[in-house]
Amino acid sequence: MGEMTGTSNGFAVRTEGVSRQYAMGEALVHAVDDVSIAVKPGEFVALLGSSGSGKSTLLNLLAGLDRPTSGAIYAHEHNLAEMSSQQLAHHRSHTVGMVFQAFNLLPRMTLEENVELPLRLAEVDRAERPARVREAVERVSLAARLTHRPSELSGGEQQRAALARALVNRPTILLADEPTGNLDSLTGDAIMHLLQEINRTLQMTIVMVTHDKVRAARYAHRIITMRDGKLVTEGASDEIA
Amino acid sequence: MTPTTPAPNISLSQRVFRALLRALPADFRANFGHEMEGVFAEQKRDVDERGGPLDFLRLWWETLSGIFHTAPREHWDILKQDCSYACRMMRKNAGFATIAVLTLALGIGANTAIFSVVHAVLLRPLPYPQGQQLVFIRQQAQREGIDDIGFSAHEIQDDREQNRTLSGVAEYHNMSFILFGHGDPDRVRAAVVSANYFDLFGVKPLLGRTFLPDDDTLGAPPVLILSYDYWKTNFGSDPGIVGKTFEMNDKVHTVVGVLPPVPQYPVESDVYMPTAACPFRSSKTFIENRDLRMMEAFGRVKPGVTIGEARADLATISDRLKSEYPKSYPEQMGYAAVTSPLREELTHDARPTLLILLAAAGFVLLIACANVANLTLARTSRRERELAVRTALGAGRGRLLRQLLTESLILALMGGLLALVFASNSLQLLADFAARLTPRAHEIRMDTGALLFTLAAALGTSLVFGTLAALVSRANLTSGLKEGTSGAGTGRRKNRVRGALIISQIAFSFVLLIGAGLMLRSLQKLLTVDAGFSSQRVLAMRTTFSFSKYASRDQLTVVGNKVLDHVQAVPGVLSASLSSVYPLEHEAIVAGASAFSGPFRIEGRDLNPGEAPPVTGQKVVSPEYFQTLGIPLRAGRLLTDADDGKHLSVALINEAAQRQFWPHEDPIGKRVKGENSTEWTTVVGVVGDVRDFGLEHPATAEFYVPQGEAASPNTLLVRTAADPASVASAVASAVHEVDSQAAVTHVLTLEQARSESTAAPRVIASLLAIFGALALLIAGAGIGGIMALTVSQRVKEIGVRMTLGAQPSAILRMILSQSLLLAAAGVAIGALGALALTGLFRSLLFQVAPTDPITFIVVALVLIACALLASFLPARRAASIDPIVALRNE
Repeated sequence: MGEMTGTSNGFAVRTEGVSRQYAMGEALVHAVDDVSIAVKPGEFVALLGSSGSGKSTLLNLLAGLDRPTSGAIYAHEHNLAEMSSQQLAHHRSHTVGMVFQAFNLLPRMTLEENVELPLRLAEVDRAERPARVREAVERVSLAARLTHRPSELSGGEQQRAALARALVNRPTILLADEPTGNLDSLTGDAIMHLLQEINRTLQMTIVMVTHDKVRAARYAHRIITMRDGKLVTEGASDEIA
Repeated sequence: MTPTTPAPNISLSQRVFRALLRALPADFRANFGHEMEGVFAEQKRDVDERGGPLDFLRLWWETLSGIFHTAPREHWDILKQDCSYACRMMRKNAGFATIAVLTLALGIGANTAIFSVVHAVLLRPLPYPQGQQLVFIRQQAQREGIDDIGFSAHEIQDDREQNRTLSGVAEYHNMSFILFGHGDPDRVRAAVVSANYFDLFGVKPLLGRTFLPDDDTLGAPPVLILSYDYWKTNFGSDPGIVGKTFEMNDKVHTVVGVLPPVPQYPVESDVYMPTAACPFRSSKTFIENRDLRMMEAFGRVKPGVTIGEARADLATISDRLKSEYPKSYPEQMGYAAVTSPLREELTHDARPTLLILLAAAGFVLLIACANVANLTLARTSRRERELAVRTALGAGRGRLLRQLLTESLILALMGGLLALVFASNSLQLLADFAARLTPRAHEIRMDTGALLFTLAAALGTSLVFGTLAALVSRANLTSGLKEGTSGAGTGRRKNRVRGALIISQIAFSFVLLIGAGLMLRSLQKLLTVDAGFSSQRVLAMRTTFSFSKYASRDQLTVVGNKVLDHVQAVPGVLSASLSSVYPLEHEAIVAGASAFSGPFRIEGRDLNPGEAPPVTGQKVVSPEYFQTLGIPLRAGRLLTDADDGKHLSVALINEAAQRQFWPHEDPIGKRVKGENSTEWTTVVGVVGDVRDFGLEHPATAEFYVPQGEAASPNTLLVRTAADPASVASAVASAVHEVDSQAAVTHVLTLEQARSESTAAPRVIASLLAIFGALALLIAGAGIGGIMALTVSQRVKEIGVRMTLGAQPSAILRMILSQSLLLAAAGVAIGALGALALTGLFRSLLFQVAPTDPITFIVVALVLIACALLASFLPARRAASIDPIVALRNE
């Protein structure tokens, strides 16, 4: 896959004093509060924290799904905070791939159509799409299930399908929000192996949100821990563990 | 629980008892059926063991009365419960209920109103006893294309005496006379009828009596019967009118009766008089001349005789007369007697139009049904979880469907009630419209038939949309708990049904709009057609002089010229003329060109044996006629005051006559004469064509003869410098200066006449346009609603798409293209339907083909634009969905 190398100054994604606040009734909630992180190309980073710690909000900010209240977010040195909504959509379709806890496959589409969807949205040449889809599904070992609908797939297969969908546009950064949260332990491990393999073979930057300290320590290069929207600790996984 | 599988050794009594239990509601059976069967079995055992036949009968009597006493009560209780629940649900979803009731009310209301008209005009029996026995007999000159040439007194007498199939034959013709003795001289439309006329129709008078045979003998004291409307309008429904006297035709006429409100055919009349009282009909010439035809004939077939037998009988008489009196029935004219049921005669003009309107209203109702079915589907989708919970708590499927149907029924009944208000408010407008097409329009009212129709429409509607919604929901009830979290019923089946309903709405709307579009295009062409005369600032009025005072043609010409002199002296009058009929005169349009046409001969052109003579229209005019109406002279000269028929008989022809009779010759100087005339008339000029008998009919061959050469014209036409209505009273005064007893009636401008002549197509176009707009509104609301529902169902999907990089504009396009796809499918199906159905419009269209491509393209664009417009708000909402919120909510 192309476009998977690093950036000029050495970071795939970084934030500078980024904050995200929102009003809840009369109270102002600091979902992310002055967080600065930097992730190198090919690095596998786990964002660890309990519910409400702000890790998913930070992931959404990195994905360009949300805008920071203050601070800057750079993806390959392009500041997401300064991008238009069209540019953010382009960022989501070309630079990042996302997987979710709930898989979020579209139930009316087959596996093939689900995986092809990002290519359609990115207006990739129609002739090129089948090969790209096949490449992505083979990477997650689902080539035999192309015509199946999500309801006909197991949880692990659905998450692998979601992973294929995230990879099909050949992004440089993979953002995963609790990818094993809806899976049993064995299947969860299989998905984590797959992520690790993708990280190793494609040198793809991965930022994964999880509350599973053990898995984070086992698979990530580095762990960033958050609490109440703030960055608490940061270090190599073996150090934090 | 009620056992459903019969035990192998079950007795006949138990089987009967179990069958009887089916009368009870399912829930009740489920709760108590088993216990009831047990009790019955025990009682039956007791009777078998100890009782006699009387105990056996008592057991069954008590069982039957118990079940049939309980069943209605239980059903009633459930109905009350369902109704109360349905009302609560409607209060809770007031928006849905309001839209559904209004939609249904519009659909049912349109149908009720149109049905009231169709029922009164086409379906209800004639308001005469055994009305199906009444026939209208007409004599045609088929080879001349004359539909109704009339009967002479001799012919009616022959039919009366020689027929074997009719219990009676009555004659009729109408004339205008002046009635004195009630304020100003009043020109009345008089129906001259035989004494048996009312007996034949079975009409009983409202007051007084009808005619007696003695009234119709020569020299009998003249008597009159007033029509209901004339009595009501002119005499304030005076109950003492019978016995009062009025002067008419220099004779004192006594009112002997007043008619009930019955349709009058062929035209509305003010008064009825016997043939003996008519100065023309009672003249010796008229009575003795077999060739003087101007009467209509009605008959009543004998009981047990079919119309077909009567038709054959009268045709045989006609053939016999032709052989007995060959001179009176020249072969080339093609005389033939045609008999048809009176009901058909009264309604044949109205039938196609009313059926088209009924179909259009039916389409509106179907669109409304589809729309409400969609709304109901959407609502039951939102209630899926509630329905699933109720299923889980023990409510049977039938019970739930019954609940849904009850809700639909209440909505439809409320819609039906509101529909009655809409319908009754629009009925008068429709009746006025129908009056242009049929004399039966007077019978239009909101009657029991219409009320039953409304009730049936409401029930049918509720069944259609309620059953549809219930059936589609049925499959999801059991899975509702599992899928209930989505709350939006994402089932493919439902989406397909919703899509199909939207497509059907668009297809029906397309057909309706094509109908409206074609009629509007036709009307536009009709309104802009060159009628051949200038209708601006021209006043027309009927001036009737006493027949007895001005007995000869010369006297009438003199008084006519005097009137012209006086009128031309009125300030503001530019020119004035007299004519026998004016362009677009309502009565002339109703009668048709053939009523003013007759055969003639062209000098030097002998007819081959069996060849029909040429036929032309004839109009009697004063010389200023062409100047007054702005009709151009094309060749030769116009008429002058010197053309008085005393020296050389002259005539003008129109261009149509030149094209038809002298296509390659100069017609000036050619000579013609009427079939019964001995004198040749010379053509001295050619004038432009005028569409006299309706803007939609091209001009037919016309001869203009000067007054003095034919029966004196009685229509005064006045061109004015300013608004013609402002000089109307001065012109009427000028007429009365000449003869204070002259009746001046039917005052209107030619602009009004022109506008009046297009009233029927205008009303049809307006009604179809209203139905089309209604359909568009309902379909638009339906598409908007379904798109809004789609967006709410696809929030998660849209969120995912946005997460994967979809631009908001792409989401907007996605929703709009879904709407476009539905609209395009609807338009395609509608176009096929329209192509199949618009042929029915052909007779109503003017210079527009039923497949007019412009109309089809414009309607398709309008519908697609409407679909896109209706979908724009939901699409914009979809484009502004926050993906984080969308995914979080899931």
